[in-house]
Amino acid sequence: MSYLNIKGKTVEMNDEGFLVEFDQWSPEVAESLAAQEEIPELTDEHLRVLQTIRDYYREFQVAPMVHLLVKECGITFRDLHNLFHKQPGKRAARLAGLPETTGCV
Amino acid sequence: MSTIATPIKLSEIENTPLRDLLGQDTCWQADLNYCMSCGKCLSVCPLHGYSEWDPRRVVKMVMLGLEEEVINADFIYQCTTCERCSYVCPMGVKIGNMITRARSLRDRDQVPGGSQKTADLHRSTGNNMQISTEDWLDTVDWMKEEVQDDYPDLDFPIDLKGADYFVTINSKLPQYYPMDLQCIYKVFHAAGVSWTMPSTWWEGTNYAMFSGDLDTWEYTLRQQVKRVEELGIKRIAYTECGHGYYATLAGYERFGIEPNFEVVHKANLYAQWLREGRIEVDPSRNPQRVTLHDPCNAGRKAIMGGYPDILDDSRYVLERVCENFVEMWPNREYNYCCSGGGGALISGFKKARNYYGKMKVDQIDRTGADLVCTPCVNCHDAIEDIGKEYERPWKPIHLWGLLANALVLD
Repeated sequence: MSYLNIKGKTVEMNDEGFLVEFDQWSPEVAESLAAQEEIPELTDEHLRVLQTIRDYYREFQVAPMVHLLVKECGITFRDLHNLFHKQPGKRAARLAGLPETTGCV
Repeated sequence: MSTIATPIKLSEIENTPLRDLLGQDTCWQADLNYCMSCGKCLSVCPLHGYSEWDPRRVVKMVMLGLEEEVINADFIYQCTTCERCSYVCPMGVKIGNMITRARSLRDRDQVPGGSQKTADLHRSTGNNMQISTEDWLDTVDWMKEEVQDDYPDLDFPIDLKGADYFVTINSKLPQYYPMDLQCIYKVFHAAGVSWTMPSTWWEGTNYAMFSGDLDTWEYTLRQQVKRVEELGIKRIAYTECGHGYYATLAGYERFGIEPNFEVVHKANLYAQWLREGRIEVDPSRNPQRVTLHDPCNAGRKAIMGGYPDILDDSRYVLERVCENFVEMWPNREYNYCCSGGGGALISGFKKARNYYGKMKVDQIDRTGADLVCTPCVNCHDAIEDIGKEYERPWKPIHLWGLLANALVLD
């Protein structure tokens, strides 16, 4: 277990770096997590993708396929890979504040 | 007389659901009484030293009726079920079976991390990621169109009755890495065999085996068998996975399933096609130094189960498609776990994974390799994780990646 201090609020993360509470996410939390993933800056494009992942998870309780994500966000598959350093699965899920992943990720 | 310790009468211990379950297992090696306490198991266990827990301790605790503590211990889910312990046990005690049985006695909502949720999704949707049939087929077609830009003759049907191969895929591919599907298309196209992508029950994993949900393990196997038999196909080309392959063959045996088809791991198929001359390759396209990580489930555990393993064939493929293949040591059935097996990849015990992952890191470092070939998706991710954790430059790659890259296709 570890903790982030974001604007005076304590945000809990599990050992794998996933948020324990989905609703504790904010763009500031994402920025802090991105720094740990060596993404120097979160652009509007990053945030748009993360918000899309969150909206999908809120409705379906799983992360969206990249096929749906690129369509929804109007970006290419290569863009998505570049944004998240070739890990559009686990890295993006972590930054989007999803509490877990399923399957071999 | 002062009593320092009270003897435990084993025959009088009550309430032993785990020991009772093991008593029902038909193989004699499930019987923990054979344990001689020699300690060989803990000497080879990658988790040994991380905490006060080790395989010998767990066996003894179960023997002495201390089951509840075992069933609730983090150890049983930190364990990657690599079964190096069972392999070296002089009495052949099936410690991995005991871990699986212990897991099955946990309440489902007490299973740590994501493996039970994954099993539930597999059961309800046919795959781990809740991908609908429509989205799956959209992705299959999307990648087919991309690869047809370069290979216009490449085509394959969905649900073709009587095809030679029912191809299974790890759902991670359509979900996050659909480009990898193109590698598989090219390899099967090059081999000139009749193959099909199933529209349903194409998932080549079994997280229910990891979570200890035996009912879902059996259910998902039976659904896939039904689909293959409905299509009249005689071979499953099992995706590059260790545990999915093992869970399938061990599950058929455990649950008394007798399909009318064969299950073949893709590594064995690639080797067969290379030997038959069906596929032509140019190893100069893979000039990097490549080492091989032998997955526990498709190596050591396959051998213990009496199923075909992929040890010789993985090497044969690499020798044909790479210019600079080097072995890691130990290897084959003595290899160390990737650090993510048994569900440990998503069980939340990162510190434990990093602890025993260091052994894997050292093994890879000693080879000087740029790439670690992992004929298993789970191993691929675990090795990627520990590579990142220990800031190593080497990267994992699937066998399909190296093979597709070396293909000489007209």
